[in-house]
Amino acid sequence: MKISLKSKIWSTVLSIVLMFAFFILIYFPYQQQKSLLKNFNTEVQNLANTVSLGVKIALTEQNFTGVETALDFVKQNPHLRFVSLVQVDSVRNPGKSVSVTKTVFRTYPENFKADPNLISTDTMVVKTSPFSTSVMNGEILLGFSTEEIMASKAEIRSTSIVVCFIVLGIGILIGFFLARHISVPVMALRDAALKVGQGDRTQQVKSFGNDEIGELGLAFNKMVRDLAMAESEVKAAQDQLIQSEKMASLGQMTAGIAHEIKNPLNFVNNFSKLSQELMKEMESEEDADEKLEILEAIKGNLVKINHHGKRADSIVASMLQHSRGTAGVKVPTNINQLCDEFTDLAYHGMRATVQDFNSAIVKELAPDLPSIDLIPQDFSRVILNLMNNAFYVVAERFIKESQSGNSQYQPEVRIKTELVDGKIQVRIRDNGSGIPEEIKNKIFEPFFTTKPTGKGTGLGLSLSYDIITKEHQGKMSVISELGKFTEFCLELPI
Amino acid sequence: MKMKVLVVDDELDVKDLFLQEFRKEIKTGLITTIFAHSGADALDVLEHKDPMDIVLIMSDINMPGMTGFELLKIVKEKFPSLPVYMVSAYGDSANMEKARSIGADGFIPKPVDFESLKNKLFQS
Repeated sequence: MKISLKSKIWSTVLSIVLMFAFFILIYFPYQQQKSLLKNFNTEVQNLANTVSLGVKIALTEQNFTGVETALDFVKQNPHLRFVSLVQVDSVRNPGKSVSVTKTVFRTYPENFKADPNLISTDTMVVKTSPFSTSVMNGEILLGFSTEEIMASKAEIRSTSIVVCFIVLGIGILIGFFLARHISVPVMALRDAALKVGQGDRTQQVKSFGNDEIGELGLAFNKMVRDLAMAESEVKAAQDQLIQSEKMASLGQMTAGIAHEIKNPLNFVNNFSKLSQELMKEMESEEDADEKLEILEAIKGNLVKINHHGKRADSIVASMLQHSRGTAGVKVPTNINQLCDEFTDLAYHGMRATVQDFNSAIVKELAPDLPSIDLIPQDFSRVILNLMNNAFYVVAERFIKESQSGNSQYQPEVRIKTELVDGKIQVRIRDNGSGIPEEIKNKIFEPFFTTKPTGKGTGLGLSLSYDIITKEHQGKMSVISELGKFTEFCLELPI
Repeated sequence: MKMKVLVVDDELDVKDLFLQEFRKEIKTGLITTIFAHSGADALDVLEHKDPMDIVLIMSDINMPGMTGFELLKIVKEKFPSLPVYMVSAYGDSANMEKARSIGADGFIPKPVDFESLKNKLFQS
């Protein structure tokens, strides 16, 4: 169950106030009244004892005015209800029992009908004090009004109620104060933190004074500013890394490109030079048939020059596409041609960097694929990346196997395109060592790499993943079996 | 003296190029050329035709399947006296050094300079 901070504050304040009210309204008045009553009882008993002693002395001395004087001692007391002199006679019954008869001998005020058996009530405290003399046995019966106590009780109660309201008021004020100074800032902090969590790094909370919550606010503000700064630094570093990842794959490509360009250039240069020679030969040739034959050869050469020139051109175009960093535009693309070209580039790049190694390449490109809209420079980077990885792992395994004396291993990289359920799938499969289960879910994370330091930025797969899933709304997945194969599958909607 | 040269390259136009470049030499019977499109093809030629007839192999390095280096190694094992020239676009010193260490007798960078190639062939 979620209880808000506000209700916690309020319930705490209210329970303190209620406890306070209980003590002030019930417990303290009760205790006070009890002690007042006890004191009053003692006081009345003492008075009764005093009167009783006075009467006893007067009777013993047979001084009857002395009795009056003794009684006068209490007559002036404003709380006196009555004072009686009771005669107690013991009568021996014919049996063995003794019965006591009490007779009121005198009462003041005279109009008060005193009963010798009166006991204390709520409004009157009655105390007796016995005495015995040779003249008579008796007791003093003293009745005092409790009006004064009642009055002070009422006073206490009204004071309590007033105090109670004051306490309640103070409690409410404290509640408001606490709510304002704890709950409101905390809530503001919570809202700001939520927004920061959603990516808004400009959130700053107002200052809440210089208590702990104020410090919390300041710390929060500083944290958000630092976070924003750190993020922009990370972003800058990331951009730089992405750039260097591009440069790295470009570098890897360059070797492949050099090879790919020099081959067509070999033909362009030599066939054009040959054609020049042939032209000269033709000029000096007399025989018409021979001339025609040379002319045919020149024609064929021109076709070849053109073909290989175009080949070089398309390689340069791919390279430019790849290195261009600007946001790409989707254009209808022949995915088979792109896969074909970049597989070759990756292959030659690998061949140029890893000596003593070769891998079979199997291309299974479905012939009837529709052309789809994609960003060629980005998509080609994905193919290049996956291909580079594939060649890297088969080369790595090849080296490992041959070091352990196993010459049976045949490196093989396959690329397959096909139309499945209205989507184009590109599968790139290598028979390298496979991906261990424990890192399978990490390989698409930025900066994760198994290559030695300096060999990989760890961005290839994460960039590829973004390119496929974000830019092209496709899917990218991997299946792998340790020691057998790894297969990346790209799925693109048409 | 008639020279029989085996040219190994996966690119088909290489055949035309060599035939045209050496058209005079072929016409005058100075040289004949045989072409193979892969390392395996080349070994096949060496095994099944009279190998002693062939006086030189010129092989590309970068070919699918068996590379030029692998071919070089096998040829040097089986026919140690048969000279092999490597032809490659990878004209860097590492590659040349490697070719030499396996036993190549020459290294021709692409694009091929046929004039110097001819000089090399017909001087010796």
